[in-house]
Amino acid sequence: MNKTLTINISGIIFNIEEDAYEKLKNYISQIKSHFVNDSSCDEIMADIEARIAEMLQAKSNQNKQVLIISDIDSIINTMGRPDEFDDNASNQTNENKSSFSEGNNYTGYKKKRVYRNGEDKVVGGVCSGISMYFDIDPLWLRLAFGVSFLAFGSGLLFYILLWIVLPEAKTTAEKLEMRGEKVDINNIGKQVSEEFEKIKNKFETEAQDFKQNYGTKSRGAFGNFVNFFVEVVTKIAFAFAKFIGIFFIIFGLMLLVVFLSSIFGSSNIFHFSNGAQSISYSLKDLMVLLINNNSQRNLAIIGIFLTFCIPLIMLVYKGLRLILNIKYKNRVFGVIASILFLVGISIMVYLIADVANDFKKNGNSVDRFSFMPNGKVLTIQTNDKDYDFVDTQEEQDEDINSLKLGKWNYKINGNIISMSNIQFDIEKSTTDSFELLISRMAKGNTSKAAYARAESITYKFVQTDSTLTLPSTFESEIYNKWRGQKIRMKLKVPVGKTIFLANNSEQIIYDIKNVTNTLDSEMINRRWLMTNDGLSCVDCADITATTKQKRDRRSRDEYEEDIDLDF
Amino acid sequence: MSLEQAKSQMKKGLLEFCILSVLAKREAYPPDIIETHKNAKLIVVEGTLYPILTRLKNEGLLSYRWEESPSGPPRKYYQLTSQGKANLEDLGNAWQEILTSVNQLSKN
Repeated sequence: MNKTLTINISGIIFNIEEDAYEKLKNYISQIKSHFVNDSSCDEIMADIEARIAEMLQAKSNQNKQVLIISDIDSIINTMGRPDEFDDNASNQTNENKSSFSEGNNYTGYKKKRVYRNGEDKVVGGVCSGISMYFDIDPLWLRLAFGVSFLAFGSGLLFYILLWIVLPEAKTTAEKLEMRGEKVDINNIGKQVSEEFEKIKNKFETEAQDFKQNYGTKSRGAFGNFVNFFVEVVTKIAFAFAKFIGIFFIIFGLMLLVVFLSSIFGSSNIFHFSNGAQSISYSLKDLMVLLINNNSQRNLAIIGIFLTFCIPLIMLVYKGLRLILNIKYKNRVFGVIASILFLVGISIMVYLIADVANDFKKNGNSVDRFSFMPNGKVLTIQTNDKDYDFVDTQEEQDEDINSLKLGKWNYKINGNIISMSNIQFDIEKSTTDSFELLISRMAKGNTSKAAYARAESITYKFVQTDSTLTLPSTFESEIYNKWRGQKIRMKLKVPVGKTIFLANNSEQIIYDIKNVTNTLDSEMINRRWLMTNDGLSCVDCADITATTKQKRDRRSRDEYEEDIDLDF
Repeated sequence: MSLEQAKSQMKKGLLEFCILSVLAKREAYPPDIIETHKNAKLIVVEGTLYPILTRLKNEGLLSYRWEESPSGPPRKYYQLTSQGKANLEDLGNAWQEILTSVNQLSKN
């Protein structure tokens, strides 16, 4: 079953199948564009249409009322394609054609344009059309696109974009434009020198006008000069537009690949580093950490895709238009892109609000452990190997599931997130036993949820007679997400007891007060005795001097402030 | 110029002459003209004919009259004008001259 249309040619009515109609319509418009410059174009067209009507009339009869595509083919055969019409009369009317076939009897160059080639297509005729433009074998382009489809589908996007951007060459004129002149060095040279000549001539005449009019009509001449200047600038801008176009395309495509690979793969896309602060994460892992459930995660993927990729796609689109000098406008595309972009923004706003809501309330679960170690010195250490060593080790491993936000690391390992946001402080104990306070903290949309989340943090320390081992990370189930979980610890040391800060404890100790104001990084690897005034170093005669000097260098106010804080 | 192009150039030059010759015998409408020319292998597709006929008519060598057709739209029947006849005579003489000189040249 086929849809049929009713058409009227030269006053005769025909029933025609849809595909046959398309073919006939194309054929007639091809002929029309062939004769379009002929002064008697209308008459020729009327004659030809009348003849076509007559032939079609002969094809349809009582038994066969509908015209099909083979009828049209046979008519085209009899009437001939426009490029077979060659005769003396149409030589002057058919400059496009002759400039293409003979290439020497025309003045001025014919601009070549990119179209999709509907006559030689695999999918949309994009590769074929582009290869026409550059006069290369379409096979290579097709291969290149095929390979790029594998790069997270960015090639596919690019292809679809080109499909939308490029009009199909339908009329003869368009097909000729598609083939056009070969774009080679000679042509480009010619174009450039012609443009240059034009500008030069223009400049000379303007300069003369300017000379003549100077003084009498200076304002008008000045106005002309401004106009001329604007025109020159426009011309230059147009040339630059092509370069900008190329830049847009390259830049846009690169970012697209990066984004897509970060959403769907898990490559780290952001790595900002300024020494102490460094952020590096992949969007996929970030979403696992931040976003509540799978359906929201899918929403986030769509949101991120729309908000970031739509502008990039538009960038590439603009670039293509600039490069290929496309005037044909596709409003629908722009409108759809804007709508999708706004949808993306709305999704992002919703998700951000939703996640931010989970940070509203604080939860804090505090545990106290009292103990009396038998050893003379209590060594405080983490379960890591030497701290410096760990750092390099980590870099070597390059764990793809490791995120770094500022100072803290987040690792996703199956269903467990392990986090390193731990700080450890030491104070004077009011009793004569050691006391360890562990605050597990988290955030949530209600205090209850925040507290539950804090409670769900797993943190196990090991205490023996002479050591206190504090792991450098804590764990939480992945469904708890990252909601500001952290651990703050305080060790209360009785007066007269000595502790030793092991090398690897540096990453958890934070701003431990001591009588000499020694920095955390200098406190490690030393023994500290708790006195009534605070921690005092037992074995750092060598550095006390330097820190004392440092302290003396500070302003008096600051010094006094420090003292205040100490007590 | 390739052989094919040379041939088509020769045909093109003669086409006008041939169309006038056909119309000198009787008035005709384009498909008739095509028929005779196709037999003579001078013309391949009908589309070629219409612009030439229109041009010859505009130059005053041809005139036409409408005739109702048993099937399809009314047909244009072309005939020679007096100017057309004179023109044909000139072309005929020129053709004879060319023919004799070409024959002589190719014989020698």
